Amino acid sequence: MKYKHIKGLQLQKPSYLSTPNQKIRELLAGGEVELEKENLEEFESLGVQVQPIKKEPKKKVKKEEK
Amino acid sequence: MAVSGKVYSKSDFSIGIKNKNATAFETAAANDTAYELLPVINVSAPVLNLVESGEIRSNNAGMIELDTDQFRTTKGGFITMDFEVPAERDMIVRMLANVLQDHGESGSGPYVHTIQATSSAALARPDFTGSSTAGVPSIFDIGLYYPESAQDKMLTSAVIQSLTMNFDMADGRCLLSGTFYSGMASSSKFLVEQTLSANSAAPTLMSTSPTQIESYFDVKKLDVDGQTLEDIVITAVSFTFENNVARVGRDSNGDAESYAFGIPSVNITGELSIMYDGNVNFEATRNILIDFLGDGTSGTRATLKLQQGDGTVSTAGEMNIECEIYSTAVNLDPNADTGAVITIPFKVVQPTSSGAASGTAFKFEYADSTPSSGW
Repeated sequence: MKYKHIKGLQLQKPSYLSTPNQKIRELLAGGEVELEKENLEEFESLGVQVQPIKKEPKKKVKKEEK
Repeated sequence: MAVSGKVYSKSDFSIGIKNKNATAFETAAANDTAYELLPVINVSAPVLNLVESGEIRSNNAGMIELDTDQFRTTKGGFITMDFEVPAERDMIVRMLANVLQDHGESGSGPYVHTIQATSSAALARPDFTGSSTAGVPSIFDIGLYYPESAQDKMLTSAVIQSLTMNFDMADGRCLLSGTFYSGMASSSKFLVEQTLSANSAAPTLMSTSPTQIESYFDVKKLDVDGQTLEDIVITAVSFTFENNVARVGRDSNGDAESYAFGIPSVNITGELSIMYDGNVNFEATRNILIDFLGDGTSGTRATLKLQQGDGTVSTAGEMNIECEIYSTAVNLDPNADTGAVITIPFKVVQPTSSGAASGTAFKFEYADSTPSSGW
């Protein structure tokens, strides 16, 4: 699932995190990033907040009857 | 005998500290304790303040003091040791809790620590021989690691006597400096010729991810001239905590039986340097001098709020400092290289309402990844 950064990641030192640097940079840049369970657990232990991106279900397009 | 050609560097020396329950106040520091590294830049040596005198006595025709006139005893003495260390995330609370002997903790990672002196949570007098709760009373055993075995030293039941927490934007990081105090100077509590044996004779890191605390604040506000909190541009701010800890009593070894703390008071002073700008200057409603002059008979206190993070203190590394400051001078340096700077030396005071203590004198909140008790 993809996540967006809410707060706190900028206070952490990336080299001490097991979450890949690239993902951290993308999150800090405001991007939507795929995160694994261990990434989320690491963030939770530090109080770093991320928000899951909920994809809106595609609306079914009704065919117009003639 | 030939000279020794071995030369040592400051990197061969180190300081380790370890918190212990106050119930062990009279227990000597142990050489197999897993001391944790105090990452000082320069290692200082303990200063022995012993009871001594040497005066010429009567019936000495030679007019030079005799060796037998000399008196010096470790019994009744005390030891101090200065330090300066870059503040780290998992260490700053331990130091501040020790100097103020106050600490509250919540959470389980991140841990949220509160050290405060407020009307509803005033500083309590510590019982240095009682049982510690949440790490308070906080006393440290200190291991001084020297280059070769059987040269190490240990200080027993030390407390930080004074601590300065300095956020200077020019330094880039917060620096802590101060003095340890131990009222245990006898040969059984100030131990020399030791071999500190734990962890291959090296102190362990307080954290395997040592993170230095930077000198900046996301929020920095001062209610200048009795107005609402104004945003200020800080060039430096420091706080100095002094608790006047001193030994009391004397056991059979000559060591302290307890410590006096905060007698007559715990003093928090500091210095705030801010830019002379559109928010803080000498015009009406923004006049920082008015806080000093007050109504002409006493100055006016002001609230200083500093935050690293968004103020919620819920993420490791977030910090809130709130205090009530009473300026003791207002100095303007119009010639500073980066623009005119106002510097205010201050002391922290307990605000009152209708004559009774009301509100916050000093409150420090910090989130990190480490509990501050049980280490």
